[in-house]
Amino acid sequence: MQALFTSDQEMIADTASRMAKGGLARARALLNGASPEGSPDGQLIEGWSALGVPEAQGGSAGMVEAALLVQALGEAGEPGGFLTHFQSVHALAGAGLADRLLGSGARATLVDEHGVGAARKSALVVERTGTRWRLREAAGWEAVRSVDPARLAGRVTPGSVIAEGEDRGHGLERVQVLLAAEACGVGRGAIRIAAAYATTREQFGKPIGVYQAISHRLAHATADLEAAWSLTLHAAWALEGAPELAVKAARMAKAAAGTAAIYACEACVQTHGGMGITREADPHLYLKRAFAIDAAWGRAAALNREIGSALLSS
Amino acid sequence: MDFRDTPEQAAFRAEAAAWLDEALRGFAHASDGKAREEQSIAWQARLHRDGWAGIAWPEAYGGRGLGHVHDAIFNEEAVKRDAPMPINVIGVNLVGPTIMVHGTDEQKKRYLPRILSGEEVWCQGFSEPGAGSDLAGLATRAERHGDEWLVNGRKIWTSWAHRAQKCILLTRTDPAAPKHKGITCLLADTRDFEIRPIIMINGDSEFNEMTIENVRVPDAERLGEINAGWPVATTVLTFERSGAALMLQVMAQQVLDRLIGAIRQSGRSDDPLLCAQLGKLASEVESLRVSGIRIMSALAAHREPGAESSAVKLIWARVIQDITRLAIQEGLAGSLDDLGTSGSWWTDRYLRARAHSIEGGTDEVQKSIIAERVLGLPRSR
Repeated sequence: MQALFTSDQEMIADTASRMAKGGLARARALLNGASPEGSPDGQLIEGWSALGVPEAQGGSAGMVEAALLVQALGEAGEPGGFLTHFQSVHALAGAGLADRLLGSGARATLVDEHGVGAARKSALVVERTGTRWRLREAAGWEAVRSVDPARLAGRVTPGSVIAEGEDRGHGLERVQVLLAAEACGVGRGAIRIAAAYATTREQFGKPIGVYQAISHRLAHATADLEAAWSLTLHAAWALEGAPELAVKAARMAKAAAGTAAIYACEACVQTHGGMGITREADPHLYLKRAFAIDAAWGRAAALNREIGSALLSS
Repeated sequence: MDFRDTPEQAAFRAEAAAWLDEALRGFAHASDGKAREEQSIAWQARLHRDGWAGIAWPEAYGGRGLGHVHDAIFNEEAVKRDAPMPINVIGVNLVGPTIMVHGTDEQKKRYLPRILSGEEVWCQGFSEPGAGSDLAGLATRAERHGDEWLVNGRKIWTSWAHRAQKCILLTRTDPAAPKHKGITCLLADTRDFEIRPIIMINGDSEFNEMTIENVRVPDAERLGEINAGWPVATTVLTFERSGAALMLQVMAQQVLDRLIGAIRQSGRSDDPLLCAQLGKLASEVESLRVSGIRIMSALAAHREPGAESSAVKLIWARVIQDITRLAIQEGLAGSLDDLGTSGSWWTDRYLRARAHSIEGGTDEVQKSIIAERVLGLPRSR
């Protein structure tokens, strides 16, 4: 049992938090139709796209590092296009094709079965058909309204196929683990701003965080997020350290993290009282992000049924 | 990051497993409580005889000199095999290590060997009818009379008191001081305590109420300085929380396995609602396992475990309560008429599980700890 972070891993988490500073402000800017300032997207895509990808495909470090990076971005509320690009790289890694995208120098968006993804300008897209991943050009983009208004979404007009291959290397599970890590971060970010608000907002002459009706809800959310984070780290480790466990571990992580993030974000809205239900305060940014993450590549509801069903039939 | 045993841990686990398989061959839990206690006494003696009592104790005190992780691995393997609870679990896990920290050389020599052998069984005289979550509000009075303390008061929820010879007892010695600063810890004989078993919600009587009237305890049996009993109590509580993570996980896994068996047997493996609920509960149980490994890894590296340790107790209590409730409400446990009667494993386990969110720090106390220490929220009291 040596389930501990190395100092290098802790450094990655710190660096990522620093880069993503101001993420919520950028999310608000996007929501208001302004262009976000100080986006770390370029830096992230340039320097971090290959993190956790197998070395043979041009990558470095491991999935735990990748999870730490994404968790930090989620916590900061970072809205940029790096995350969908990063997911695209890892999806392709399952088909042994990550180097094709990494080598192209272009940005990619991971699109769902409707061709919709969390960006609307990238030159490339990655899509899944059956159990295969496909990298193709994007011939054009149409803007799509998303549940998460602070992350531009688009529907692609697919162009020519560049590469495709069978997902023999847990590409789907890699994507699920990255989403789970982001969900953990989003939930943590929501709890962080809720705790900050509960410490300063006063009613009945005291900061509302004194009242256990407030603090215990946030503690409950924290416990669920910690459980989800442990499952996420375990799944990230399993992808490299125990591949035979990866499918179940990734499902559990994604389901638990999606559920915990949504609960945490709801708790954040409730803690903010009236301000929580406005677009003037930040809780809605986290809440909508949490739902968007849960909906992508395996909803908690469906994954839980799958997990239960697998246990009963094994 | 590695969630597997190190080669050294794996070797220790194999050694423990082999011994347990042998020692438990043909063992079955007795059906009545008294006989189960006898099994616990015999098990303590067996552990001691073969050198498995006090795995984390220093060799100088008769232990194996290994760490908490090894202790946890042994307990994990023992619980997996449904081994009996050793009678002196409080002595070995809590009292002994606390005496090692706060005791005099005399006390160490006098008590530690008899704890490991089970010759002297210990109980923990902490909670009182008026001092539960607010432990420092305890009122059992100890007054100094020459070389002795005269003790009067009541203690409650004392596990094993009816089988114990000794009690680690928190007393109020300075009622005028702030509540944390007027407590003294005594190592008392239970001989003169009046001990009444408390019948629990499921019919078992694990706990006792102790009435202490004019009981004399020599000052030589004081653990720590006068009015400095709170740090001693904190030491005990820290030991109570450190080693449990992996054992809790196994308990939850056993209840989950039973649920899986019950659903299969009922022919409802295709019920999508049941599948969804099972999937969620299984993930929570798995989270206890992987969080437990993270906690033990931190302890082994002499680091303070992170926020994951505060989550474990809350989720453990909740998931066992949820699993047992689901089994009963879905009719997997037999008839609801079973509730309150003996004979149904599920109703017994459900009723016992109501205590999980109360014993060892209530859910409310755990949440306040998270709110204050993890989230930095202002204290509510």
